[in-house]
Amino acid sequence: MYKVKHKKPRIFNYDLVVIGSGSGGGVVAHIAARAGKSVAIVEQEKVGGECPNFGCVPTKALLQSAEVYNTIKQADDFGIKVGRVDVDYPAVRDWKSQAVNNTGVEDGQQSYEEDGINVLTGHAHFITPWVINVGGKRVHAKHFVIATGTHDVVPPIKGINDVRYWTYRDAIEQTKVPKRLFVIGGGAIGLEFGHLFQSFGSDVTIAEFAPRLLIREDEEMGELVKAIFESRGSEVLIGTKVTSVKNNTDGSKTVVYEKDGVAHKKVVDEILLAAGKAANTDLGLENAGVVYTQKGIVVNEFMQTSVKHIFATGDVTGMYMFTHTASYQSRIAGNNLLHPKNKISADYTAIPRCVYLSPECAAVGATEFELSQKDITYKVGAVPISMIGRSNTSQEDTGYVKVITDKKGVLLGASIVSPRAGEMIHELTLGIKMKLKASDISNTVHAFPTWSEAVRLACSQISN
Amino acid sequence: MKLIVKRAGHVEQYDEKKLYASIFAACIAVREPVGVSEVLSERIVTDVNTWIGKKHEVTSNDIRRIASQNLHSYNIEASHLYHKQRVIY
Repeated sequence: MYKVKHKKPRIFNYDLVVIGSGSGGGVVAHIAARAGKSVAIVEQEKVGGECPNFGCVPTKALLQSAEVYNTIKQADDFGIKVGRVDVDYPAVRDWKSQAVNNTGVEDGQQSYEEDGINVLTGHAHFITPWVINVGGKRVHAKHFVIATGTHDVVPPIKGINDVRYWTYRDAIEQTKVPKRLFVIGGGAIGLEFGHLFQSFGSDVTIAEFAPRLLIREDEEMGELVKAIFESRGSEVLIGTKVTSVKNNTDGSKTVVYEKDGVAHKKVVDEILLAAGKAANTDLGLENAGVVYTQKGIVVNEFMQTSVKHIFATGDVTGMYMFTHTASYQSRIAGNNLLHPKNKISADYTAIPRCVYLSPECAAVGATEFELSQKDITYKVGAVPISMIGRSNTSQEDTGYVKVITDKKGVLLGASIVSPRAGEMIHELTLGIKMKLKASDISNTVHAFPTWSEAVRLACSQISN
Repeated sequence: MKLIVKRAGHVEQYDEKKLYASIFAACIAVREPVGVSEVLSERIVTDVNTWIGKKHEVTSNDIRRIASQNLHSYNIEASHLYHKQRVIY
């Protein structure tokens, strides 16, 4: 890191310049502008950033189509007769585009301008701690918020640069379902696309380098998800390293991978690369003295970087790469910018984590692995969802709810695999945030028959 | 037009020939053959040009950092020497 000695300018163009218009940047820009500050936001791609344009919104819209399709296919089990069901995949993509448009990203610039925020287009590069260059123009600001997000990590696979592989951005724009899809990466992105294309008839193979899927979650979640994919005909290769890829003359691709020390080959039509993300730090941070690591920009609990007047929020900080964490951090940064003598700190003890499969997966707080690493004594309560009435009436019996508490029964973590797990997790998120005991939840009446009854039952295992 | 902000704060136009000469000098100084030094210098200039891409204004420290990072994978000694030179990009 270079030592930075620069004179602070006396005149500034803006009180605040936000670099990146996604969830991490947009919220703080609006907060500051509504407090009367002069604000500009810099965007080099689409206004609104990753989530509404290329991430959460398009994938969830596509997954909704998959869910509708899967539900129709099961209609006969519920006494509903339907004729032949066809998938018009270009129309599925059109629906996805409509959902993206519905978020208002097309008018994103207007929403900033209505708040008096200037939208600057181009790449931002720090020249000094108070000056950036955007699109050839220098911009001076008293404060900066860096919310530049991440980019895909391309692992060192022989031939990867010569093969036309998909990233999630390509996968959302397809008008055709591939016959054979090879997914590199068994995290949330790889699994959601694996589930999507499997639902529409692709022969899906998922390869994960780690010993299980969803490696950051407790073991049973990854194991169950693997079993679900396999029961639907996908191949899941864990502990597998993809060593090379190449194009074939017929347009297909050959993937060579190593599992248990043995090399295998697979011919597929498309390869989806979902091997992780890395922070976008190519901003001349060295010129501003902002410290960053391979994981992302280093921030304190107030979202300040190593340079006090420069904040960082969202995925670029490398912590919990979710839209909801980014907007939370953005609110924290907004408060701390405006009220430096009354700062608030970020608290990550209850950040929900969801993977939108069928059934959904959700978790919050600590995992058993984290607690055992810290030598913390804990208790576990778990029930299969097949125990509850809703499982019977919905004909869905795959899944569980697990809660983790300290020895006094105070909630520390939870994980769920169940239909609507993404909704159910919030009761436990609130419980962890408010330091409730499992008995507080098990003593609360839950409506019958709801999936949330499984949450109450899992908590009652601790109380008992 | 790409601009370089020098250490003292003044701005000049990016000149890839100057960068080439600095890399070449560092390679020769660590006894790389002339031919290899030429190839390495060309490669590093290409890498830096790619990095600059759509950026309009960068600092000489940026150029030094990116060039030495790229040179490091080919010749650590030359990279170190280049990094320490004063009159470079």
